Amino acid sequence: MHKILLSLIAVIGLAVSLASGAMAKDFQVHLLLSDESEPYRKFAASFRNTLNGSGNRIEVVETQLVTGENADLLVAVGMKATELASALKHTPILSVMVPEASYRNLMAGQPRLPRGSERSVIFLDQPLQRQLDFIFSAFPNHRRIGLLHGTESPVDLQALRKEIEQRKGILIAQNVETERTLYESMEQLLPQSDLLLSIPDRSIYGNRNIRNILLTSYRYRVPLIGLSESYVQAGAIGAIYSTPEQLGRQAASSVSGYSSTRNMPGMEYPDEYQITFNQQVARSLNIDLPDIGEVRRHLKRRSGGAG
Amino acid sequence: MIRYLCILLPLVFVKGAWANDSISELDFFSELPVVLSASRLSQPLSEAPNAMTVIDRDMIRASGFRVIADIFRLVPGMQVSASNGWQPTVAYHGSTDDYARRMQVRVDGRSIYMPPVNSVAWEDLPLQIEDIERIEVIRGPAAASYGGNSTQGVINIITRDAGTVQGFKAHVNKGNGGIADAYASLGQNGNTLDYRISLGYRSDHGYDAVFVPYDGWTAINNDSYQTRLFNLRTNYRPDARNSLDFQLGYTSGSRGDGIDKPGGDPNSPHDRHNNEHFAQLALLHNMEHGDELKVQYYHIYQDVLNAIGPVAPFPALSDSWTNTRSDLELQHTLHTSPENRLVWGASTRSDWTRAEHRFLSEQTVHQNTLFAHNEWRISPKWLLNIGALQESDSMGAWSTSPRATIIHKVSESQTLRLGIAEARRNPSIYEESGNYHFPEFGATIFQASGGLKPESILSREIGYIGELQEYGTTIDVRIYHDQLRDIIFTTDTNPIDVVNMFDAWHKGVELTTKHHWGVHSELTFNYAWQLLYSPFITPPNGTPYSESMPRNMFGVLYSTKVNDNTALSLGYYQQDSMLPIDRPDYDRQQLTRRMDARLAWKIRRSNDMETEVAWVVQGIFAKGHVDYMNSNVYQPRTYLSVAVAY
Repeated sequence: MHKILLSLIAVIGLAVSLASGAMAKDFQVHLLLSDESEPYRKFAASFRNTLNGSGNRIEVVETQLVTGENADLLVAVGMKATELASALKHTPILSVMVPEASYRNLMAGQPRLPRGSERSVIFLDQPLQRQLDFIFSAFPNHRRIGLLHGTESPVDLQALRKEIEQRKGILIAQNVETERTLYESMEQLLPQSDLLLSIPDRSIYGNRNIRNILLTSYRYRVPLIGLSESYVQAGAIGAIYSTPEQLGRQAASSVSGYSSTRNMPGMEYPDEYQITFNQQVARSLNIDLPDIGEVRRHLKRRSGGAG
Repeated sequence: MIRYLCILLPLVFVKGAWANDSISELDFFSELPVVLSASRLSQPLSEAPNAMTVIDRDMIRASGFRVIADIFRLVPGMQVSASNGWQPTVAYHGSTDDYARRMQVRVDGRSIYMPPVNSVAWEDLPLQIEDIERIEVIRGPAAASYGGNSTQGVINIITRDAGTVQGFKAHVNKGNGGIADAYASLGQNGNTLDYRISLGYRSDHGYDAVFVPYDGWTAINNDSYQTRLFNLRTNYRPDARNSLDFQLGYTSGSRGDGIDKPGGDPNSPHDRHNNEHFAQLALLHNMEHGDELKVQYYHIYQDVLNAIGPVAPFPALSDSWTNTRSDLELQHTLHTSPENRLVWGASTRSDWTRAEHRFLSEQTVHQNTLFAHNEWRISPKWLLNIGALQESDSMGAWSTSPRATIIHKVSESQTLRLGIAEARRNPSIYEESGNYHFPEFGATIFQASGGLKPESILSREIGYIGELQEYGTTIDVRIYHDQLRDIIFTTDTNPIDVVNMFDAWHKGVELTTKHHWGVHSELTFNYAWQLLYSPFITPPNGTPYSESMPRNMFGVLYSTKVNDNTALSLGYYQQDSMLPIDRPDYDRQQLTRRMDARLAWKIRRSNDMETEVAWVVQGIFAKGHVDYMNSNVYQPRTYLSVAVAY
């Protein structure tokens, strides 16, 4: 009751300030981090720097209490923060740095939200088109894309197959029934594949299996496309991904936009991205790596957007 | 053995859950262990500073070979033979005596060539053929990278990583000639700890008994053997940057020895008992930009109990020995710029031997090495490799082995390599101070007078590699010219001695082509033509040096998947006539042809269990050629193999 009252006051206050037609009052953003580890700290620093640099009057308050009190907007960074914040009914929430599949799952399980409780998100994953444009631009001779997936994997095989075929490639999908059969699945898949595409599925690409997957695919001389820089350091040939700093900048510009227009961005993929290759692995597999600038230009042409 | 198992049992119960909870951003950001680090990656053929043959698991399986030495039939220019049923010999470019002393052999970086006995005891090696991930054979001197005894080549055996296979696998082989093998392994991987345990047994009756017309009696060939093997490999990763790899291995076995000669022989039929074990610890620290620091320590123990008789009228004899080796090595790989990679390191080794009848006292040799090699990408088309190794030992030997190779990428698929290398082999402790004597007879067979110079080789080569992907074909050609100086060889004195006896020239061509049809059929073709020349000397037993290697050698391995469950492979190996360097003329080997076949069926009962039945025939149509000496007559062998995995 107390919370509702406070929220009501906040909403009334907001309405009054809007009615007065002036932005005299600071716009307050609550920043809720899933934890204090490096990626979140980097996100927070980049988010604040971008907002500070833009000369607006947005105040960023880092919080660990998910009350939404006095907040014009709550930015939830990561899945844990998003889950906690999802209980809030009246505060607009921007979730950032969350995997698409997990976010959609969470939202699907939510009760219908009342009007005005806006939810927006900037995913961590790259859009499928960008991911595939990256692969086909960087590895034009690797047309047979191998994929290990489980029944629960967050991947739309039909959409993926269609996108790959549009790029004159072939998708070879192999179902992994249990962890025990992972090796056999790889033995079936790898001789037919030129590349192995990793997906965010812990039951396949978990810490326990990644070693095995990298060693086995290396034995078959099939390079792995990773999900992040960590994958590339571990032995994937390359990855396209967005860093916390990049997502921090994008979130800041969304917040800044919202503070002046009150329009939430909806569902967005990252604008900026990073491309990393593992030179040593490429050399060992005798694969010539392209110039990163060239790949970026290609992606820009394909999307006609930022990069 | 029981002790090892006690350590292991708790590990067997470490199991992880089949996690399927929803993922978070941490699945993207969490550091992953560095898996494909510098020391684990192999160089592509087109960038290696030497000619290199890579044999992977699939080829080994397709070949149907049961013993490791046979695998080297798949290397152009490598000659595989056997001085008896349990003592295979592997030689590259000469040295076809029963010791391969001019080639380095390493298993996961552990040098297994043992100078105290001057040889590689292949059958005693605690290594099971099933546990091999791949073998890289460097053809040509690579002392700059691999140190002593790499004067003519290096065999690098890389075993399967601890966490590569999950679950239980077992198989048994049963065939003629006493073939009876068994293998079982259990593997499990976890978030920070992986392990693999394997147990094995291998046995056969060696060469069959034959009538030897030159000697006028039937050689019984008391050379059957049984070998029991045990291996453990664990990999522990406290964090993403560091890993600790620990291995234990153990073999124990009896080997038939001695001659059942009419009228008796002091070396009467008896069993030797050979034991070998090792422990190896490697710490790997991965740094930024793919730089890596590796520290490795290992200890090897070999023990041969060879006691004979007494069998009247001869007294009891003993020719037993014990060897140990401890070795500590540090290796640092660093990228000084994106175009330049430097690998440098140092090692210290101590070899100890007690062999009452082979030395007058216990022997210890300390050896230190310092090495560096640098790979500079001058441009995308040019790669320069320069390296050197400096080696010194407590016997007073001091030598440097440099190497330089320039590689030119003529086009995206074609590479030319020009290399020059100089390598030295320091005399072994046996060559320097061996004394093979039997006071029971008042006989000294071998007495080293010492004071030997290192042997040296100056090798020049031109290599071509064509990777014609559009045709599914790879071509690897090497033309070489080697100049060997001060070859250490036995005198015809009594007792025998070794001296820096002669110089020799080797030249030849080696060719490997690989061709694949789709993903299911592959053909590997190897050919070697070699000419050995030495004008100075004919070694004591009358063998012309130039005939000690076959002039032409062929090897073909074809494998195909007939359907999802059936695989067929055929191997063909042919070599010209030759006479092993330390054998008299009546042991001349005529042209030999060997054809092997393997047919395998997979039966999948459920998703969790798979059975494979394979039938292997070795030496189809063989008419019985001689291996190394005339009593070793090669006869066809066949065996059936049944494997289960779940």
